Formats: sequence, C-alpha cells, structure tokens
Amino acid sequence: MLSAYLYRVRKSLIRAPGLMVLYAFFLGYILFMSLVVTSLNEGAVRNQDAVVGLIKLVWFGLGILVLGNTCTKGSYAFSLTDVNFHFAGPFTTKFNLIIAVINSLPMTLIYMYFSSMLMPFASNFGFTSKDAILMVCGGFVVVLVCSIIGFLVKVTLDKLEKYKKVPMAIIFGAMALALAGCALMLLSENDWSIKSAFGQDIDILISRIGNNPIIDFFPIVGWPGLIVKGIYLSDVIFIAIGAVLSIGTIVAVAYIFTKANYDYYETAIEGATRIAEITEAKKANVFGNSDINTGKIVVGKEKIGGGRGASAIFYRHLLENKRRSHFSFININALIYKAIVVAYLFFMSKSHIIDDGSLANLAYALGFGLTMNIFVFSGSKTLTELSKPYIFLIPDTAQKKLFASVFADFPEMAFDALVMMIICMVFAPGARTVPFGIAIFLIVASFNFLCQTISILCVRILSRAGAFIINLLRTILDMAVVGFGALVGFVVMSIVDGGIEIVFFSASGVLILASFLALLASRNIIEKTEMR
Amino acid sequence: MLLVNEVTKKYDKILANDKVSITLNNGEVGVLVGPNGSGKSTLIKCIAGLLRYTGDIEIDGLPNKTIEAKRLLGYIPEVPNLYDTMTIDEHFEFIRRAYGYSDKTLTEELIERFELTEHRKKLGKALSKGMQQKVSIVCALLHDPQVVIFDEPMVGLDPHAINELKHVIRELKEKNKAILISTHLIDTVADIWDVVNILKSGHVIVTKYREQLNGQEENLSDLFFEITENKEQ
Repeated sequence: MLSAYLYRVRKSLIRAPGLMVLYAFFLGYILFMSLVVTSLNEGAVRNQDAVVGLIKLVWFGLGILVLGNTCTKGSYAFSLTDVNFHFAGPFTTKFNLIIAVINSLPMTLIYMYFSSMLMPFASNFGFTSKDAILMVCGGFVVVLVCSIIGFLVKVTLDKLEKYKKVPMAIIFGAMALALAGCALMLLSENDWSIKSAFGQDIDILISRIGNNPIIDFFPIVGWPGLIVKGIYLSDVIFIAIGAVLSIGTIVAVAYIFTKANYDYYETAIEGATRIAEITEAKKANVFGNSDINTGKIVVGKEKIGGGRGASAIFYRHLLENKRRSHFSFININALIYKAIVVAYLFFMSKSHIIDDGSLANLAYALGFGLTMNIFVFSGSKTLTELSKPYIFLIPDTAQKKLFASVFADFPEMAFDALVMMIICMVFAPGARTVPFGIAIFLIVASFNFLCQTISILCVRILSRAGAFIINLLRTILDMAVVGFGALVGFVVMSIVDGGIEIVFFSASGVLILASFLALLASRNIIEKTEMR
Repeated sequence: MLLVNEVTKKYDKILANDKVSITLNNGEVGVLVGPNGSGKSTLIKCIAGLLRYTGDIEIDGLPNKTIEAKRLLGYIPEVPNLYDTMTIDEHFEFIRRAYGYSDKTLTEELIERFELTEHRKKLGKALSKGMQQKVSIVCALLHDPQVVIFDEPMVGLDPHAINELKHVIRELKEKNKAILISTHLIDTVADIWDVVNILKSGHVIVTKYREQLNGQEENLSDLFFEITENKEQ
C-alpha cells in the first residue's frame, strides 16, 4: 500500500517542479523569519505577556478556522483521483486517513507561512527565534489535530441530517462568546470606556486578550496555549493542566482513529467533488474568480425578468447574483476582502505604523484595497461565460454579447467602491469631504472596471497561453495603467494647483479610458476565442 | 443543410481535423463515427462555432458564425454544462429569450417527453449527469433549429430517454431538418442513420449512404470495423 502511494507521490512531485519550488519557498520563508526575528529589532524591550498572548492567539485563530472549515465542509485532503484509486483499491480506511493527513501538510505549511508573516511585527515586543520556532511547530500540530477532529465530527454528523449545522453554530458561537468575553473584560478594566479599552497599544491588547482565562480554557484550541503560558511563567500548574488536556485530546483522537471503524468515504467524496468543481471552474476562468460558486443556492421568487438576444445574458447574470446573495449588488468575496483591509488598517494604526488622522492612511487603504480587488474583479463573469457554449451559440453580435456580460458586473463594482470610500474616510479623516468621497469612489470603481477589461484583453490576446503568462501580463498591464494614471494625475494637479483629489479624478479618467480601449480591442473575443 | 468544407483544426502541434469535408442535406441523419481521438468532437465544436479553424462551415448556406446561422443551429454538447444557480425552467426561459423565441409550446412538449416535469424547479447542479444531458437536449431543440448537431447524445441517458431521443431525431428528419450525430456507440444509431462519415486520425476516410450497404448482410457496425481495422492493416 505504502509503496504504491509513495510511487504516486514521487511521480507527482517530479511532474510539478513549480509546486516543489513554491513549498520550498514557504518553508524557507518560515525558517528564515524564525532565524532572523531576534535580530530584526534588537533594541526592543521584551514584553513576555505579549509574546505568549500572540502565540496563543495564533493557535486559537488557526484552530478555530480549521475546525470550522472541516466540521462544515469536510476534508479537502482527498482528490477525486484518490477516491477512484484509493477508496476503491486495496487500501484500508485507516491508511487512507493517514494519506489525508499527509495530503493536508501543504495546506498546513501555507497556514504557517501566513502566521510567520506576523514575526517582523512581533519583533517590536521582543519576539525571538525560540518563540518563533515554538509558534510554528505548535501551530503545525494544532492545525493537523484540529483538521482530524473536525473531519471526524463532520463524518459523525453527516449521518444525522438534522444536526448538520450544529458544529458550525457551536464553534463560531463559542468563538463569538469568547471574543465578547474578552471585550467585556477589557472594558471593565478600563472603566467601561471604549476609547481607553481599545485605544491601547497593540502589544498590550494582545497580551490582555491572549492571556485571558477565556482563551486559556477554550476547548481544544486554547489548551496548548496553557502549556506555553506555564513554560514562560514557570508555572507548573498551567503546564500540567495544558498538557493533560492537550495530550488527552490527541490520545482520544488517536484512540477513536484506531478503534472506531469510521466510514468516512461518503463525506470525503463530497469534499473531493467540491475540489474538482473549483479546480474545473478555475481552469476555465484562468484565474481566481468571484463567480465560482460552491455554496448552497436557495431558489426564491426571483426571475430572469427581461432581455432578448444578447441582453438575456445580462439579466441572467443579475438573476444569478440574486441567488448568491439577497442583495445582488454585493460581491461576497469583495466584501470579505474589504474586511481584511479594515483589519489590516486597524492593525497598522494600532502598531503606530500609520497615524490616526493622517491623509497618508489613504494611500495605505487604497493601495492595499485595490491590490486585493485584482483578485476579485479580474475573474469576471465574461471569462466564466467562455467556459460554457451558450455565449458562443446565442444568435447576436459578439460585441453585444460581450457588453451584456461585462455590464452585469457594474452594480457589484459600484457597491465595492462605495464600501471602499467609507473605509478610506474612516481611516483618513482628512479625506472626509464630498469631493474626496467622489474621487475615491471613482478611482476604486474605475480600477475595478480596469481589472475586468484588462483580463478580458489578456485572454483575447493570449488565449492559447497558460494561466501563469496571462496572469503575469494582466498584473503588469494593470500596474502600468495605474502608474500612468497616477503620473497624469500629478501632472494635472501641478498644473491646476489643486489637492490630492485632483490626482484621483484625473487618474480615474485615465483608468476609464484605458478600460474602454481594452474593451474595444477585445470586442470580437467571442468570435476569435475558443471555448475554454 | 450543413456544409463542412476542408476544415482543419490544430491544437498546438496536434492535427485534430485535417481538411475535413462533409455535406448533410435537409431531411438527412448524418453520423460521425471513429475511434477515440479521431477528431469527432473537435469537428462538432468547430461546426458549433466554439473553436477556431481554417476552412468553411455553412448552415443553410450561411457561414456558421453569423447571427442568422446561429439562429438555425441547435447544439448538444458532449458534456452537459449548465448554470449552477439556475433552475431547469430558467435555463429554458434564458434560451428562449436569447434566441428571441417566445413560443413555449415546443419547450413544454420536450419537457414532457424527456420526463423533466418534476425536475423543472431544481437547480442545474442538483441534477444527475443524465438529467443534465436531457436538459441540454431540450435547450438545443426548444427554438426549433434547422440543423441539429449532437455530440455523444446517448451517453448517460436512461433507456427511455434514448428511445425518446431516437423518436425526436426521426421527427426532426420528417420535418426536413439536418441532423448530425457524433458517437462511438454505433449500435445506438444503427436504425436511424442515413449517411455515415468515418473519421480516423483527423481525416474522413469513408463517407457512405445507407443505400450503398450490401443489403441485410452489412450493417453500420460491420462497416466501421471493416474500414477502421482494414485500413490499419
């Protein structure tokens, strides 16, 4: 069994050297950051509580994320090929579960890669290489154990249709309660003043929240942190409690794994099918696409409602949007990315990397927000259409079909620009004027439109090229147009002697013009490109 | 009428179709058969206008990529490719709107015949592959096309649906439509074909009409094996 598996793994790795390089990069980055973190900020005064708090919060966050995901969606560690060859082949269920654990190692590595990005920031309060190694190794175990626990819970509950949503509710309900408890604790310590409680420096917030008893004793994901706390505080009781609870959990999982005869194949197939759907959809769309849907769709009273010829495509897209969300103008992925932007800006302001009230915050907010939007709006509905035959078959002109598909993205783009405008105004009070607001809205909306049209143009020009080349060209073109727009903006500002909003207005004009030129150049994409 | 004239299609260095020419008159059922990788599906996709190629393809005298030609064409893909978030009824509504065909009579008749009535409120992705194939068939036929091209239409269908599809094909023929079927399941089309084009390595190696066969002693299957295996030797 093992030799067959190892043979397959060896062949897969040989055929995908790029993936090996990527994993080596992740591992190298983690090792490098772990080794140099001590020397990043040698003058920093060590805040032991903040260090312990950060390690515990990282494990807590990773554990919750993995538990929540695997409890609800099952394991993504099996592919359909595994299902066909391993499940139906002469492999035991236990052996196949071990393979699932091995298959999840790359994902665990990615989790640790993102966690290690916190190290430069943590060096500000004396985070050392020893702390880093502890955080990474412990995090690795937490992710692996949580993924197995989550998967076993999912397998068990799949047999009980009525209780399918229970683990999700418990996990995220408990997490919400824990965070609310931490917030209440902070408020009570600061005379119920929100400003005093949450206005403290980030290292103090981390140490207060991370070392809170609620986090300490939070089931499963909080327990390993107790050991760390005990080691750093030289408190044997914490070490003992943490060790008993954590090792007990691992032993219990191992016992269940070896003794119980888990029939998890059906649950694993569900996850494998979902991966296959996502992979297929991504293949068709060249790059990450917000149009890919793997969630549950609820059919309501909404209808196509209009359209004839090419315009039926536009109305169909609106219907699909309504199915994905009650508010058809909301792109869920864009909204999630905006939440990340807010968290990033909050983090930056708490770390005093950006100052409250500074107009420079606007550059951080826009820079980060727009970069994220490349991932949302580049995989447009039009590219999704190219993976199905209907857009090619519909009896209407190629231009009309293209425009009908492109314009269906407009409401989402406009709403995203509105959200981004509000975020910028919150974090950059200097931008709280009507002209600034309009300027921010325009620059974001025009950038979103640019991402979409440049992607279409890249597929039009390089339809036979691979995803990597198309993505590279798309990114270069996006950046080149934005750079040129900024240049034009600064020139106009210097000529009219206006404020920074003039730069945004002028750059928006350039972006809109470039978008329409890109659209014009790709107008015959449906005639000239093949179904993907 | 369907005219394919010297169509060549290359995927990088692989020659999928090499100067393929076929003609299918109205009221004829044409069959494309050939071993795996012979270029059947590629040719069907070229006719549907999904791929780039060199050569000419005409539908009732119109180049296949013109709007007028598209209006006359019905295409059933090899793999049904439905919209995940739309119900079956909404697929039909979308196609009717896209083709500007407001008459629902034919749609309702096809829904009934392919036993889709109780599934019409279901989402595309909630259906089995066979059911999705039935939806694809209805989508291709509901605007009453003059030329219909089927790519492996019987794969995944239950016996009732295969039977029904054969009836539909015969009716289309009676209505003087041109029907082209690509398949490797020779037996499933043995009783409905009029002209067969046998493809091998991207070439049409034989075109034969039913009446050219040697009476009862030779059938489509015999012809296929005789030609493909003899040529190989």
